[in-house]
Amino acid sequence: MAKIVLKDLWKVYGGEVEAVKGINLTIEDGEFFCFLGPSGCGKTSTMRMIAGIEEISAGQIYIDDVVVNKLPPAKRDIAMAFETYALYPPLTVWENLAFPMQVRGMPRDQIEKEVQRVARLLDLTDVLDRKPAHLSGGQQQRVSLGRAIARPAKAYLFDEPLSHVDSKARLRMRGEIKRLQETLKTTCIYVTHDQLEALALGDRIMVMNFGEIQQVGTPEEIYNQPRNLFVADFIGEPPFNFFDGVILADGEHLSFKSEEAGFSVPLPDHVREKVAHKTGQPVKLGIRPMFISPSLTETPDSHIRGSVYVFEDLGENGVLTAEVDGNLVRVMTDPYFAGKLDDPVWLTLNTDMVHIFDPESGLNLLFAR
Amino acid sequence: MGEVVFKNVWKRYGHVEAVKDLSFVAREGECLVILGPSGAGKTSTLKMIAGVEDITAGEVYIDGKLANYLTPRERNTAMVFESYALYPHLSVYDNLAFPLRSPTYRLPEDQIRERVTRVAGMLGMGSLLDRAPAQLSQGQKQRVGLGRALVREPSVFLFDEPLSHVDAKIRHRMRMEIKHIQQTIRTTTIYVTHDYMEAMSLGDQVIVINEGVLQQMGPPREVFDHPASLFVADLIGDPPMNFLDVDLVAQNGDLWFRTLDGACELPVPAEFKPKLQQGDKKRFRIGFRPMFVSHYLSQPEQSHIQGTVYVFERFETGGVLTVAAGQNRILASTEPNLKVQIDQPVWLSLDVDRIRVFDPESGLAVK
Amino acid sequence: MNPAESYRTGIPWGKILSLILLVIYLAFALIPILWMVGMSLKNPLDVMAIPPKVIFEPTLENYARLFLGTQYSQREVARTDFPRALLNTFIIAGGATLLSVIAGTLTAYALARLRFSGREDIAFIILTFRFAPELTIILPLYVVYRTLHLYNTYIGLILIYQMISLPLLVWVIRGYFEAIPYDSEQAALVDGYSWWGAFRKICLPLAAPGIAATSVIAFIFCWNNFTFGLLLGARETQTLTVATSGFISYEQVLWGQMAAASVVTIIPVLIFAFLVQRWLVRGLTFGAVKG
Repeated sequence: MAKIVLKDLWKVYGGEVEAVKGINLTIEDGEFFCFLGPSGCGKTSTMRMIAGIEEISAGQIYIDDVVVNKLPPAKRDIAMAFETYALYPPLTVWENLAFPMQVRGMPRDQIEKEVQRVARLLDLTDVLDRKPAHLSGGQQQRVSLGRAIARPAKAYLFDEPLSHVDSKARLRMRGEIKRLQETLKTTCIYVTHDQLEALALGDRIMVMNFGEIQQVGTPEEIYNQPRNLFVADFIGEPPFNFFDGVILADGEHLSFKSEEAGFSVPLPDHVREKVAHKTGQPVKLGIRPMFISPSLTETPDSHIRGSVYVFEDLGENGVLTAEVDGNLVRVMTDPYFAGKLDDPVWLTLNTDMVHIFDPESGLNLLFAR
Repeated sequence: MGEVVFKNVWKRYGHVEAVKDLSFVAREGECLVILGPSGAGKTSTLKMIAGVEDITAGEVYIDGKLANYLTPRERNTAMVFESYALYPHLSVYDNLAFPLRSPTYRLPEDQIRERVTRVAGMLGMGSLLDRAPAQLSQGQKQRVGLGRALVREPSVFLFDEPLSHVDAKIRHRMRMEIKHIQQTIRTTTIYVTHDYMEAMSLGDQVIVINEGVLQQMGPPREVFDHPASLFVADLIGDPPMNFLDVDLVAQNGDLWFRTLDGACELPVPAEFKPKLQQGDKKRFRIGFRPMFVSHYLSQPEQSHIQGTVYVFERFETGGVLTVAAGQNRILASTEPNLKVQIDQPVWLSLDVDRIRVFDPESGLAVK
Repeated sequence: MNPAESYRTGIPWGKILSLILLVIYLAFALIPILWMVGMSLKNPLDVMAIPPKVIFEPTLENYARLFLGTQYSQREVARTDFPRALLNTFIIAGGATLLSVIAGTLTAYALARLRFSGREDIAFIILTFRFAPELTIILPLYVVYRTLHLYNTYIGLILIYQMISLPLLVWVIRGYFEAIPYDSEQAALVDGYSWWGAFRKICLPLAAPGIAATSVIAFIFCWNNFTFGLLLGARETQTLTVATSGFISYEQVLWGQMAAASVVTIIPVLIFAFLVQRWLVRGLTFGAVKG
């Protein structure tokens, strides 16, 4: 277990492409930390620099308060599971799992114990004597994971380990990874582009885009208090709904008015103090689908009127997409909603859960300092 | 117009039987989803309707006519391929116009232009019309494949896993758009997928297939609430259904399910009691969805299962608690912000009426 | 993963060395050709001069003899009808290539797309035609040709030249067809085209760069062939390669004219090679860009 600190870390490819732009981050000892972002955002480059398989263009990386920039990967005492598995083709599964420990000269019976433990954990006991070429994709990925976690290390790094695993196996393995980490309490860094995975597994998450940190926080913070438009839009499925409009003042009370969609929403007190300075200026209002209630009849407190574009009954819940003046608004409901195509529908927003964003900077005014 | 009927259809590739004795009716204007894991014979089924694969045995009717010996162009179907199957040497505009320029259609160029621009606008591709397929992203390619099917007015739309290679965010968006288009145009649609959410969302009827054999057919709600077999029950639902192997025991004048290790006892739902009482089977597999499992962190008066916390994963609108009870792992849906420790004791209660009963040997549901 | 950049300082020794080697090789490859061109412009005395003359007075006499047919030496024995040979070679090599393109493209499609037992065996057998040394079959072939009255006919030579061009075309174009996603052809069928329409509109345009490049190479191989032309043809169907060898007679070698004949033989091929170069690169890299 180890504390990992990144200080002003840069990665530049070919003198031109800035993949990672001066990020500062502290990962606490024993944390399950997720790097989350779309492809090309710099999360994999960052992790590879921590592992030592990518050169650092500028800045420092500390593992347990020791600068490791010049240390080769083997000396940093970390283990890594690759997205592309990177198994050793001529070795059997058993030998693949045992390899990192054999290289470090661990005693034979301890290696055997660890290999069996990992094999049981990842359901590989039946294939221990096979070679990678005779394994399915999912099995290969489990061997890759197993090889990383078989030996004790300061930190485990996982590079999108579940991306090629079929969905049933993925659910199970996600749970196993989380439980493993909670039991061992080893520092883990997990790279993924799947926000569902990050929210499920991480103690804390770093959201990246274009080489820069967008937000760092617990899953709850990222979900309920997104710092900017990118984070708000990226996290959550169905995604945030956004409306363009202005802040209007009526004495003490502030409200948000959208010209296009033709509705107006009173803003609660805790929002008021943060956005009062924006009165009269254009802003974006954001609200999550789960905080909108639909109704097929007009109610006194409904805010928006639209028509049913599509309703999807997904089994455990339902998703209503309503058309409001040419824009689509997504609402989460129970699966028994009875609306049909083009039926009129009235939407009520839970005003306590709205967010107001500055359209130019993209920042969430509720949390800006 | 546009009804598709399969009667005892078989498809063999050499010795491999990809489709076995498949029969179904896709009614006019309906969206029929064929759901199954990869390699289940779904793509073969679709290609047999389109006419690009031969039918080994059985009959296929399109629009009431026997289609077995019709060439693809005579069947008037439009297909969206999993690999998009775009024409790499043609621009997006020409890809969309291609079917309309074929000998079967032969539309004049101004009509072609009108249709292509309309469909491109509908799919948000107006600015991409003169690009080559190699310059497009996955999502854009998928829309071109879709557009190429929409410019025509076929009797049947055939979709072959069109969303499987697209990012999750775009996938949900496109699923919603496809549903809207299908409900507006109301052309008979046959949609093949391995993603059960697409089946739930898009299908008026769902057919579940495994290894070429029909498992269940019905409206999505019914397949979700009353799966006909263990295979169907496990395939549909996220988080997946919990399964326990149990013995039927009579105790205190009532029927109970007892797990094999004796650790838990669950009441038998009323609807099954008469049937189970009469039969002589004792061993069953029961299934119940995580959404029907309630959890308690301190011992309640009554509970069905006692265990310890194995792991908790939060999702945005809820969480999934995995509970270890003996050798079993049981999933329960919870609120998102549950705070628990590993190995902490926890008690579970089931909504008994939602328990489903299956015969462990045949895999079929007990009605 | 890009490795971190390294900066080069100082003299690029690697580059200088490769440049020197390249120059040496070019000299090795080009000097004989340049010498031959020079030889074609020399009069007979200059041709035989020792030490060899690098500076001389050029003359077009050799080319004149070639095309106008008069002999330079009174004791000339061999006669060649050079303009006729030029025409013959165009007809035979061109005809053979055309036939190979048509037959080869269709064969390649069948081998790429259709499934039938013995498919790989047939493909391999076609390839082996190219391996067989021509001289091993030439005797029985001569007998057959004589019997069928194919000896010394254009058709006869075009047919036997298939052994040179057909295997090449079939194998390369098969690869191009295999690279075209089958789904796209099926999509064309569903979109309303017959098989032939789909072939014409989808397969041919996508394979066209490959077909063009390969057919030019096949043409060049046919153009260069010596054995078949020598043994299965006679004066009326004499090809350039055979005609050029006719300048070696019992008593003397007409170096100047032979050199001129060689230059004339090379020129069409050179022109084609320059044309092909652009197509070749496109054709070879097509496989990397899939729609």
